[in-house]
Amino acid sequence: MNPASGEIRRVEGVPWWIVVGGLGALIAYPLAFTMPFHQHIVIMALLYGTLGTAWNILGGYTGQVSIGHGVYYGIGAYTAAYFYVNFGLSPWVSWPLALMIAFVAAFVIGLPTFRLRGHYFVLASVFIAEAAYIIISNWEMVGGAIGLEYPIHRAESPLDALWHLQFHKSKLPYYYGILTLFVASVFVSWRIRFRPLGYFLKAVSEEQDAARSLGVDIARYKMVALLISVLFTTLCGMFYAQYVMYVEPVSTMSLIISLEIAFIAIFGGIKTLWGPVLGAFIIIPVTELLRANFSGHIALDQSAIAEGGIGAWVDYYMAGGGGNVDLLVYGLLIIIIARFQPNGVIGFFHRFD
Amino acid sequence: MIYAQVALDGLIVGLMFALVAMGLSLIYGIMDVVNFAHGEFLMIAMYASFFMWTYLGFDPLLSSPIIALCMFGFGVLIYRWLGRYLVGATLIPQVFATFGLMVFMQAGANFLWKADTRTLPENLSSGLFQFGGLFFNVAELVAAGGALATALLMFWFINRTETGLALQATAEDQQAARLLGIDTDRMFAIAWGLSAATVGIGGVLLSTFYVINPLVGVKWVLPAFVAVAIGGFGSVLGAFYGGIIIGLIQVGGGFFTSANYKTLFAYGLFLLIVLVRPHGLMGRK
Amino acid sequence: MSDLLAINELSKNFGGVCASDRVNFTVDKGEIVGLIGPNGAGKTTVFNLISGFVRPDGGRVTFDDKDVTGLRPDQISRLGIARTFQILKPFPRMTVEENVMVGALVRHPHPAVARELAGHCIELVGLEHKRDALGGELSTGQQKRLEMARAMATEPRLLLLDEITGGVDQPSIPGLMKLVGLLRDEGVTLLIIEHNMRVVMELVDRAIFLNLGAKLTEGPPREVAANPDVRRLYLGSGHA
Repeated sequence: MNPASGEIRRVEGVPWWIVVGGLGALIAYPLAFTMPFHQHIVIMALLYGTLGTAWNILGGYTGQVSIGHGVYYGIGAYTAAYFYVNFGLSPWVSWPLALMIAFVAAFVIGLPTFRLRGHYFVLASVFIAEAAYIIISNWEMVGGAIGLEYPIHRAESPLDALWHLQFHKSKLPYYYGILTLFVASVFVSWRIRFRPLGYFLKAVSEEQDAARSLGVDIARYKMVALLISVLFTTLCGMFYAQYVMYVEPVSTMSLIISLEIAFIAIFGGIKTLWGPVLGAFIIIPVTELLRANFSGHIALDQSAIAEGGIGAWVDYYMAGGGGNVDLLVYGLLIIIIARFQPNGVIGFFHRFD
Repeated sequence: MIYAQVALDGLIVGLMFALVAMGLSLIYGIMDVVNFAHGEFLMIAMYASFFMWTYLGFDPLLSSPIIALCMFGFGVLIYRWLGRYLVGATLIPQVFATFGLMVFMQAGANFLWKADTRTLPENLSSGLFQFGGLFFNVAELVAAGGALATALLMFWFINRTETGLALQATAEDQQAARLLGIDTDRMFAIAWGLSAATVGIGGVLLSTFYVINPLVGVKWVLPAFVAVAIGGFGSVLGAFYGGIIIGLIQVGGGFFTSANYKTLFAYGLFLLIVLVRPHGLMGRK
Repeated sequence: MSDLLAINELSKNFGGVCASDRVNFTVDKGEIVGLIGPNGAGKTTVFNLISGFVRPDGGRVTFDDKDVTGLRPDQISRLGIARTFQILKPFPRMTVEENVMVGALVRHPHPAVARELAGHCIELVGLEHKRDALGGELSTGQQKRLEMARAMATEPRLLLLDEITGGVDQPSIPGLMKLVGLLRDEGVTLLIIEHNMRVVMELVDRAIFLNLGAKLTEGPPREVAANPDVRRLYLGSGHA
């Protein structure tokens, strides 16, 4: 964990010019690839890259493996949706509320469960997430199992579109929005590693008792890690709601979502900075392409949403009825990585730390 | 009187949970691995029962020993392919290997047999009757009885046969067991096989009165985890009692609030147990 | 009071087994005090009670006139008591430097300052050549030195050393003893658990003998070693 120093400045093992080049490529990508579906793939990859990076701060750096992050994702999505659909409040206004709710949830969940170790913590996170899922699915105020559907707003001006965060003519605003969030999350994750926080989290993940004996307040730092993680996860949820314009329990808070979030990081390589990014950019394109080709539906495009609305999104996302090849491959990937390369794909690139 | 009915239903459901939970506890007790795909074993046993009925005309009671045997083999296979590598592995590969298996099997079932729900039509154990003001569903009763019988068989095996005692020894202390000449690898395989077989029988029994779809496994296995925790991770007997308790809580909870919320009570109980008395009723750790 | 540390009637029961039985003793500033006794005497329990890893059932721990009974381990560490562990707990996948940094950063959040302090501690224990080795790769003796460096990085006033010569080969012991002397020179008061009587004799100003959780006697090491009860219970008649 030496800071970037040496002959070639590196960011966690990656030369700076690759990092800059990668960022440039991401910025230029939607301008070169203008098909909505192609842009969609990278949008989702960026979304999950952010989710994975955020999860990694708690699960990788701190060693608290949570299969329940769907709760926070859902809080973000539902808060954005609820206030927009019912009160016309743009996420620009409702985001502090979403974060507040998410932080309270994080306290309520984290405080009691942080003293659980190993399997117990994992199971506790699963049950809490499942409980949240059941409650939301039965809560009429947020639409129960059906969820909330956004009214389509045709913007009168770019500023108006920005306020409503609905963009129907092009995906570019969505793209650059999530790109910003992504870059922010990776940056935060990077900086943490050199601050005392990074050292303390790593110590906590390796030997809690030793860390305590040195003066590290375990509970406090775990909570800090959780809150940072939750911050980005919740914002991702809000983004998702605005992008898909339809939130319901399965696509925001189900066990599968929590699993996916965790797995992106694990597949790529937890405890590393670039692992979750790598994981997202490998898995998401694969699953999106599988979903598009094997679920029997046409590739997603903007007009289909505008016309078909919720139906097209639900079909597309659930990949229901004769599909599921993406989940099949997904499950296989999980097994393969767990069995052969638990350090994640990044383990292929350099000796583990 | 209605409370008696609730208690009865709870007991019946509890016995099914007990059967599911015992297999989980067996694997955890012997190799410290939580098999998240356990519910999927239940699921494929249910499908197997369905197909045996549909294509071979085998009544579930008849096909159960066959399926049990096949599930045993399946469990051993999974151990050899996957479980074996999880012994002593760190938390994440362990957790995710079986989670991955769960996702894979669920998606596989969805892919092969679609998401539609199936049920077994009239069979040997159908029927409803009333006795003393309580309603009994014959299929459920038979299933509960079968679960109890299987549990007793399992206890007998673990406590009275040489292999069973070897299993216990391995669960207590792997190194010592090896020093005694016990083939721990074989013990692990047997544990997985037994685990799959018992939950497989559970699946067949369940198929006589419960719906069959790719997601049915998760529904039964999550509360079963709570049962294992209540009884104490590692104790098969504890898992049995835990299962019964969970069954009663679910049915009771669902009765007093709403069927939609019935699993919440089990999950809440898990958090309580794990925070207050982590070793459950009779666990080791 | 010149006592840095005072233990008063400290007691702890673990499910019916009395691990600490109303233990009383003090440690003065600048002393090296040795805690000796047979296995199961409750020595590590005393350490755990002082350092906050175990809550006492009765009694008090006073550090520098402050009541620290029942505080959390990290709180006690920040007040100035550090410890090592009998069963070594290095951070296995962090380098030696990173290990020690964790301790240094608690008091000096600025990484550059912490790194300098860490470097000093690593040099003190003689591990500079292993600076970039992973904690889990070190030998037992090296890990013990690592734990000491790490503990020293928190700039403690009292250091609890738990059996630092345990499992270490004979030739390395004098070096360790010298190291303990160096630590005292750095201004740290030391309370050590030791089985090796030679080390106790040479290093320790005062010895406290525990048996079955209770303190039987204390005093200069030679006196304690000559005590008939101590000889009977622990040393055997032919021991020096």
